Amino acid sequence: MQTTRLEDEVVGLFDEMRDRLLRYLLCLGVQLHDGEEIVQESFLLLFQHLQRGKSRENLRGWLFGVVRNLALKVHRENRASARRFQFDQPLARLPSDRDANPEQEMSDRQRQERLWAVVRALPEQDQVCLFLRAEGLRYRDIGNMLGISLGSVAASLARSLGKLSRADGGIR
Amino acid sequence: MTNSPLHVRDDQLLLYAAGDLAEPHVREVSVHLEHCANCRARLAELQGIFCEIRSVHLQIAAQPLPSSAGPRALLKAQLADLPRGGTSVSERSKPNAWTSPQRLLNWSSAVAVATIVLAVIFMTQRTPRPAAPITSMAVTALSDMPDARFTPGAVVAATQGQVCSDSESQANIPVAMKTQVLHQYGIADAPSEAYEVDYLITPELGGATDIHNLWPEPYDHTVWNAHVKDQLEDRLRQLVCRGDLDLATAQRDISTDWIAAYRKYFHADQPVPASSLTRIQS
Repeated sequence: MQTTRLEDEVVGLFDEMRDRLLRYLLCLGVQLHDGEEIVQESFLLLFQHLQRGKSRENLRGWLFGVVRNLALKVHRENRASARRFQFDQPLARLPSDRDANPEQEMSDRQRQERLWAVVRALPEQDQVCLFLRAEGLRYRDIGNMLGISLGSVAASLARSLGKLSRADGGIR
Repeated sequence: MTNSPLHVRDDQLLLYAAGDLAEPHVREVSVHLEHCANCRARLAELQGIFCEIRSVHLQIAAQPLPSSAGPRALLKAQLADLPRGGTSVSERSKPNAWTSPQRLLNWSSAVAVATIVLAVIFMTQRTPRPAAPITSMAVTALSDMPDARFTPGAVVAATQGQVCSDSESQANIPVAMKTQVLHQYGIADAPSEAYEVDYLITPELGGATDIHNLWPEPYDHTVWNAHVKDQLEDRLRQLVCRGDLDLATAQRDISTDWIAAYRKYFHADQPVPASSLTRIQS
């Protein structure tokens, strides 16, 4: 009976979080079908986590951490053989500005690559905060989802945008 | 409040711009920004960088996601299969599990392969029903069940997600193929208003436009007619896309004995009146 309740809880969280986790993985450069597998694996791990009576605090944040770690792990394991992930070239297929000349386009793309490299190097929580803000969530909603305060969300985003600004030759 | 005594901190600038700064500080920051070009420039810079990151993020994340119905059903099945209190999940997470042949056969290809295998099994192992005489036949010879020798069912390699996201998968059956079906069943001269050459496994459940998946289905001369089978097709698709039934099972059930499948999924011995369908399907 308790196991059934746990299963329902995990499936409920899957319904709530699956699309968001999948989009996060896409932003990490993971292919869609690999992302589906990683999300599945994460929820099986979540079930085991809960079944063992471990902490229920901030399960959504926990899920973001797990999918990110699984993505990095699988990327490392497959890098030598088959290139299943494209962590190094997520911007390669982005549409470019049609009005820009080739030199300008190249320069813009290099700048975006540089900024995106900074994003990928951010600590996990900062990366997730930035991702959720880019998804359009308000500071308060991000805080609720990750189980952190409004101030911590703002501090995290300030840290991330500060690094990005410095990488872009910012004023502070 | 500030990075230096002269300027507002970045996190406070961001909270202010988002409208989330605590009330006592709003006026303070507002007045400061009015007089400090440096902080105004800093806020614009942070917002500009964020807009750029958001724009890239939205482009990357813009690709449409497949329906979650299939993955949800798979998760439920995997959770049900887990040993209670066991360690199978951690076993599954071992690095080598990702590179094993079984792991590489991901869920979508597994569904596709399973459906193809099922179709082959249907075509080779099903017990043939008594053959209809391959001669000129009257309307009364139209059966409510297909002849398994001719129509074992055939499917395309589609996943649950693909089937459920495709709203216009019902392809027209080529006339030549229809004629071939009628000849095969020996009813080339049956009146066309008495039957339709129909899919055994509907394309809306991954059925293929293939002669092995087509049969002449009677319209009205039996209670188990084309209209009733349409109800079953709608019902199965609803269950599959809601994640309550896996695609391979739906394909197997409808192709093995669609009348038995109807009874099973409608919990009824006889066709359900149209007026009761909404209640059953909700």
